[in-house]
Amino acid sequence: MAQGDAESELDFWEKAKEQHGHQNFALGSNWSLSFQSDPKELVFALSRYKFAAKMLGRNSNILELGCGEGVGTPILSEFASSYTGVDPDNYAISSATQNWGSETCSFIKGDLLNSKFGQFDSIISIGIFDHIDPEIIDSFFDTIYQNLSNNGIGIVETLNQPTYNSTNVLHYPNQQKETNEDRLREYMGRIFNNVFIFAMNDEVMHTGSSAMAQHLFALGCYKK
Amino acid sequence: MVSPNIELGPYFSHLFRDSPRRVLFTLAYYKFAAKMIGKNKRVLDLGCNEGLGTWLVAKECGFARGVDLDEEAITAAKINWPNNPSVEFSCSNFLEEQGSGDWDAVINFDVIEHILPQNVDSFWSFVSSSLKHDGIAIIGTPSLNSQQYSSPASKTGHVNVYSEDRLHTEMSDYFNHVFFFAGNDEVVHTGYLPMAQYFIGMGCKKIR
Repeated sequence: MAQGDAESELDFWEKAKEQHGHQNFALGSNWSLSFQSDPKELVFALSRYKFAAKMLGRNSNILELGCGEGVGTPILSEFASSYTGVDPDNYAISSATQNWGSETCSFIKGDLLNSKFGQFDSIISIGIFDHIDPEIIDSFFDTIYQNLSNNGIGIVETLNQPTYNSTNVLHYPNQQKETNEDRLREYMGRIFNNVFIFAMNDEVMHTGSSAMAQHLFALGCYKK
Repeated sequence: MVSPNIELGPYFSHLFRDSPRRVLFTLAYYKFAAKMIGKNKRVLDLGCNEGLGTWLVAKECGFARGVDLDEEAITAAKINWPNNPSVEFSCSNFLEEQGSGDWDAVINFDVIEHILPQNVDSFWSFVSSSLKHDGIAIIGTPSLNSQQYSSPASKTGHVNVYSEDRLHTEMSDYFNHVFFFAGNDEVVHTGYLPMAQYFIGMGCKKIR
């Protein structure tokens, strides 16, 4: 065959590229820094969002508490009817809005404690639980409760760090060490009749020993 | 005191000899269910066969009752766990019964694909009526797409194989929340359902 007639690999690739468009975007500064220092973290974070998204199913209207720069927004919102991300960090919200703001995806700079944003089918919070002072964590769960519709579900994810270095234990050295699974179960159990715990190591979701899990998810449904 | 050996009945003996991986897969799905159900719960295992999975769930969750219409299988189950406070077995056809409404969880693995399509409504009614208001149902069944790769032996009696959509739709008629998991071999995951060999549906907040 004459070489001039055949399409080359580059010709095929150019056709493929036509479908990609040129809607480029840049990661926000937090995720850019993270990706430079440890790119695996992005894999793990996206894996958490994918698991949450699969639990929500399709056509949900979603509230994400602590959305940061919206790195999870595309996965969470792909099959959703709407998505609202909330974060107290002004910069993160403007970065998220610039990258992912749309007719169905919106972002609010707001407080995660005791706040009302609307009525949602699903409320997701990833990587926030372990950052909230135990003394005020009730008001974080109040936010979930107040914003969730009657038939809604909630997903709270946390780093599974032992809590024995908290001040409580210094005061009461003999107190039995609470695990994060116990704490998650207890708080979620206050607002949901059914609570399911999943574990994640690296990007792998499993139902193995929570003591050895790096991250824990609590899936709650049947609101109290 | 040496405890007696576990005696396998004809079904699990056959599996262990001819398709030992399926023993692993079956028990792995029971383990997944046990983790979802949690501790100090009462679990009804419908279609328990020889009760190996029932025992796993009883041990993890606190109490389980296995029910099967196969008398030989129930006899085999009772031999291994007689007078055990955490597990019991009975032979009956639950399709002809009304549920008791006092179970924390109803589980059911590799059963619904054997139920004639005209009896599916009775099946779901029994599952739902067996549960407390906050009880959960966990149903596992091979996927329709897996059947083209299945051995004739493993497909015997499969009169009612489910696609993901049909299982999801039927469960949604009985439960407000349906969470869907995929099984490939012993791994339970949330990946692409058309490539899953096995579906595990979890229903919560029963509608009726």
